[in-house]
Amino acid sequence: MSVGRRQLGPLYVTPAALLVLGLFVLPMVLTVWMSLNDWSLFGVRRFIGFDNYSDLASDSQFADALRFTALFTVLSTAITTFAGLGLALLVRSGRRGAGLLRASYFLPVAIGLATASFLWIWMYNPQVGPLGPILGFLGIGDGNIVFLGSTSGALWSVVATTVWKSVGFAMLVFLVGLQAIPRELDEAARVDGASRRDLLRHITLPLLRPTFGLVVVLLTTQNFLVFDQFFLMTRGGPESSTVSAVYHVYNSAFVNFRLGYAAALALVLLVVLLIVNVVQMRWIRTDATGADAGKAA
Amino acid sequence: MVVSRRVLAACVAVLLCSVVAAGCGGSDSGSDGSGDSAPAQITFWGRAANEAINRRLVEAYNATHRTKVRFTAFPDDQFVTRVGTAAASGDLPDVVAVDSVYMPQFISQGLMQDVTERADALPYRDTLSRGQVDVSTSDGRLYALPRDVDASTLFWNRDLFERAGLDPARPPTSFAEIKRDAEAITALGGDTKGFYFAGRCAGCNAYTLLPLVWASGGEVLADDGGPAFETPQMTAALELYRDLWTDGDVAQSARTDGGENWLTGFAAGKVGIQMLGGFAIQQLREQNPRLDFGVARIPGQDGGEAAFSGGDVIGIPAGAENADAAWEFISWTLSDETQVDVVARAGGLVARTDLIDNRFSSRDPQVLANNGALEVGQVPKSIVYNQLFNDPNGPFLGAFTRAVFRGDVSGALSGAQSRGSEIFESAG
Repeated sequence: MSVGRRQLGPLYVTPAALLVLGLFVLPMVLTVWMSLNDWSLFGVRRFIGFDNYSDLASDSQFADALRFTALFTVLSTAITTFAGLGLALLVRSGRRGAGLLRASYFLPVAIGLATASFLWIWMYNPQVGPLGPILGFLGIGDGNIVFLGSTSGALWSVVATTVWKSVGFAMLVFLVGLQAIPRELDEAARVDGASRRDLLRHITLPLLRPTFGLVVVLLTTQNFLVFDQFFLMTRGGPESSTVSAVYHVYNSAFVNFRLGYAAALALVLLVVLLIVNVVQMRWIRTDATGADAGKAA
Repeated sequence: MVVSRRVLAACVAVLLCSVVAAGCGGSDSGSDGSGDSAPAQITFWGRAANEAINRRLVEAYNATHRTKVRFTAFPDDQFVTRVGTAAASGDLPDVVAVDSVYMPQFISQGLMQDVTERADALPYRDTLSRGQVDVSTSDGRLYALPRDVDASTLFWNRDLFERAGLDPARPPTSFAEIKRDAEAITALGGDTKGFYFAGRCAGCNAYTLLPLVWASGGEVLADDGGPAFETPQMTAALELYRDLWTDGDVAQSARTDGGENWLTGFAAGKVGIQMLGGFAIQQLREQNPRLDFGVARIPGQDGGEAAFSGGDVIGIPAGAENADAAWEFISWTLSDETQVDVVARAGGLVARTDLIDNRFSSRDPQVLANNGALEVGQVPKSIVYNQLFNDPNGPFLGAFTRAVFRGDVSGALSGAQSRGSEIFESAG
């Protein structure tokens, strides 16, 4: 019986292992191999060692794309995180209508990224889009704003779309985090005479720290790999100033047909993202222990 | 109501097509076992933009021939990638129709069969659209024939010309006249503007601005296929666009138009002059049946005329199993009957100069004028054409944006030249 179970164990794991092998490990190995070759879409392939990686060092467009992506990631992640927390605090109560608000804030998450991008292209359209006239009515601009015309305009417009698209997700994670906070803590503090703001500052926020970490890491990863919005909404323009890192990989592979070089770019991107994530995790963990230490003292 | 009927009609058409296709597939497997050398079926790949006309051709061919052609369309921006991966795995079809600007790259990679001898035997060999034959020729050998042809041309709105006090029968024939006429139309006021272009659409602008350079006597590529941006003719063309933009002769939305609204303003009768192409004629008529427009050749700085020969060329990939049957289909697409009864009947441009004046086009002055522009048509021949001119992040659109919207023409062109040279060298 126990032998049978021992034999069954690996059998149960096999489907998952095969999936990981086929969908992650093998493509990864192939990507590494491609990155060591002069791999054009057409014609012969040739092993060139680390030449793709040395080309990469002098690729000023990749450096620009990385810088731009970092800026976009910081902006979108920060705004989405705080907006998500704010919304979660707002819709936490069981008041009438809270459920409806929760659902409507979450709705954009359920829309495809391409669909959302096209929706916002029309929102920003200077001729037929409603945003320009609305802002004009509020006294901002003359009602005829070319949102995607300048670099900063395009950046902020895409940040707004991205925040709109993912803030519902951040809100949901924060709601779960809020629910995990024991009610007794709040009640005890209130008995001790803590105000609403004290509750938020000294109980809710510190206890939400792991949730913060989760939201920030997930959003950073998602925003760092941004592609669809810029591909569809700005096409990297004006003057290639809004080309994200993944967009640059796409251009290398499918415009210039340098698949090997694109593979090298993708791997470098993976390493950069891993480093960022590791640093974030560390920071969250040390912060948490620091807080614990403070409490102990 | 009208819309819903149109949608319904489209659904029915799609349904019919799929039924027909399924029917063909079914009959193929059973018949043709008679020992005849002709294959039961050949495969044909094309891009989505030309799917409708290619399907019409295939239907007409299949109705009258033993060998059936099976057509597959791929999205335009994935087509070349798709062919590349198929070439790597040996899965290329028997016939491929590709945007003519990619043909030099296909030839240089040995993807296409040499069809020089086969083509020389055609009675209509010398009447084939010149630009597309040129771009499919390498070292004197021919690798593909014209399939879908188009030429970029200058469109002008006759009503607006009349209202602005201009001669509605006389389109501009120089840069100065384009500017002068556009100014007169902008002066009508309201949201009527003299000129339009899609500022963020690389392909649209290459298609319509490069002829301005050629007509002025300039070139856009060096003899080896490398970029040649820094020419007086390119400078003059961009200065014309910059002046039109700066003086308010172009709607603000041009700045962010990635091609989605390329026809919108002209179709609505709000644009006086715009460089478009034959493809726009039917679309404009559908969108606004009352629009009164003329079609003329694109002028140079001080006269002259030129056109970009757009469209597809059709050929046989290297290693195709059914080359003879493929050739039979290709040569049939260019025969008198097919060109007139299938292509011209559908309002398309014919690929042969001897058929330009046919019983359909003779009743259609706009199509006739557009088709005639093929006589001055060119296709830029470079293995990096796509990277230089079609890429929205490539040097051409970068230079266009910087020159037109920021006014820095010479800086834009020298920047594009150095970036273009890098691209050309890394590809060579």
